[in-house]
Amino acid sequence: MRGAKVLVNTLKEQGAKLLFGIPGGANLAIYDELHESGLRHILTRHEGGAVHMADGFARVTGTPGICLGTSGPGATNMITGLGTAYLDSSPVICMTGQVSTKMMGNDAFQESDSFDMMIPVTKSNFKLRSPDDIPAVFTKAFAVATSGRFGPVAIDIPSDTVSSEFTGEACLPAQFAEHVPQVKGRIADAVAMLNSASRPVLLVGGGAKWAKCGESVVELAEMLGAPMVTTVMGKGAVPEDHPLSMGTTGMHGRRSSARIMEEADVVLAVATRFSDRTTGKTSDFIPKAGVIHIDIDNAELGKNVRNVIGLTGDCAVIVQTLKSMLRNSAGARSGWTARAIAMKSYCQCDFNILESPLKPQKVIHELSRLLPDNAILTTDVGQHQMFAAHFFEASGKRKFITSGGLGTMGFGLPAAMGAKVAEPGTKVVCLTGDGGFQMTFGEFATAVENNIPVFVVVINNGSLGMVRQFQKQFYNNHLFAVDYSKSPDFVKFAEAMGGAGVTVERESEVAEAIRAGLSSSVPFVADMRVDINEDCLPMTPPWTGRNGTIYGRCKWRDISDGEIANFGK
Amino acid sequence: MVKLRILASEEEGTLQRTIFEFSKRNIEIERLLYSHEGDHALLHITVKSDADAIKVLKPLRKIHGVIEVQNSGREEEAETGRNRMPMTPQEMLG
Repeated sequence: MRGAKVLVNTLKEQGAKLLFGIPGGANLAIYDELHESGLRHILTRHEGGAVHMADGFARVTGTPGICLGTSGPGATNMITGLGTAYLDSSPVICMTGQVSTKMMGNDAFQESDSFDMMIPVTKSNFKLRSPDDIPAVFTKAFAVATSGRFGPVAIDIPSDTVSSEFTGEACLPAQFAEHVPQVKGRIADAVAMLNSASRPVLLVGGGAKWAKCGESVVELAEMLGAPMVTTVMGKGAVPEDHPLSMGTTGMHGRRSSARIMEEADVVLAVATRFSDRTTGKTSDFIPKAGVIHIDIDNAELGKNVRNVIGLTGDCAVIVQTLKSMLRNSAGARSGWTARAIAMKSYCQCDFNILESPLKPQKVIHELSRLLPDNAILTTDVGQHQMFAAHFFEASGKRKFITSGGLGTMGFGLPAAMGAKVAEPGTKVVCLTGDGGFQMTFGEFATAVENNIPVFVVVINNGSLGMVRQFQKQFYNNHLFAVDYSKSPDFVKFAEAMGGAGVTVERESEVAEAIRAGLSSSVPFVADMRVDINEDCLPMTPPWTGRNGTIYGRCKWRDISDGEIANFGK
Repeated sequence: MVKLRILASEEEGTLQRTIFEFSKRNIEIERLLYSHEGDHALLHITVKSDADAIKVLKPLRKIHGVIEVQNSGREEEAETGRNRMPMTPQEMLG
């Protein structure tokens, strides 16, 4: 049996049902075996799209998304996707073809040292040296990707290792799984701190989604009478229509979330890495609070926020353990809970803005109103992403998928496609900007060809909006290299690809366009022509701290300290 | 100067990944010694300060193939502390 057959069999043994990729000279032996393997293959337009699709698939299923590219440019095209998955802890298995072991180092056609290039953007990576290594390496790759803190794993596959005969033996998967302690750390101290807290807050990060511990977190919050704040990556971990759910915090987060964090005396941080986008100016971040930090990755404890009580382990297990050890003290904190709810209530500003030109907030408002309770929303990166993080309500079982770590423009559409493939019966919407959409919109043809009816909502302001906003606010309004004077007509583009679409210029057309997109049987684009001058606010620049917040329309701009003091009384 | 002792498998990539963890954090490697201990690779990496060693210690332990990382302690006093300047607004914008 040749190596390629063993490779495909090993993928199946690991539970693979489909993969995303592009063939090329160095991986053709694998494609030859995929031909009659029964595995579904989605032929993408770019290898980067294949990785983002695998990433989107992984974020929805919690199981590895698999992608395959060829050597050289195929492999280098995959690096951004791997970096995206790495920063957001997504278990992607990335296979790349490679020139044969005899040719390596000769600068052969389509040769690149992809193994070394991928080291900084993967949790681990491997290079095959012989067909006999295939079962062990692949089994190890899946185990590494899905044990401990999840992450992408790359395997470089020289062509001769899959074209020649396998003479080795199968291996046992269990031997490679990363050991994760149940609970390691000062659990008794954490319990005592939470029991004695007057103003506890739960800060929920993206790891809570990977750990699938959202329900337990909500129960814990209810026990404690503690408001829940999420990071951008944590958005969707807990339902945002829950009374204790305050929404996102951070650079573009809700003022109510930031304020409740400022007032907290204990913050229980669940599976967050305290990124700079979450903390802002660290000296202003949770100044009054003791911090309990739960994370599966011990290296995160004390990295960005120091002097924490750290608990390492599976967050689901730790949250359950805390629940079993804590007393139900919500009644004793009714004043604090009421204050949080009053703050949240004040923060429900009316962003059903009926002005002309169309405002991005209006689009987000209608998406929140019209999307089903189990919809998946993926975003790209930029203003629309932060508008969505701030204004979109991830209520019920809605999922929010975004590139929060690497901040990869072009992620939204292929990630949505991966999500749709994972859950064909669920409505999947990609919220993107005209800049991000054009980075990977070739994959729209892939969506049409493979019957993946995603709905793409383009917040089109003819500009790289967030960069423009920064130039306005922080670079003396020197607008340069930021506006697209000519972009394609996205509806004609969609139609040319075999999809459908609608252009929206007035607020009165938004709801109808969204309904059309949600009911479309083919990939659909709603081109929302929005106001180029509408900035994504409020925003707290990271160097200013809370006193430097730029409010825009935000109601917190005009509120007095006296009024704030009376919240919940 | 602070010395780290790193015992790792000789699986390809483990040593590269180990070195990259330093450059990723902008930590200068002052000295690097490589030897074998049984079937394993043994690295002694010297960095300037305790702060550098602390910063890289836990990430090194996470690497698949790294078996053990120890802070072997101070080799000699660093001549000067690292005076890392606070970030400018532009740097913070990313």
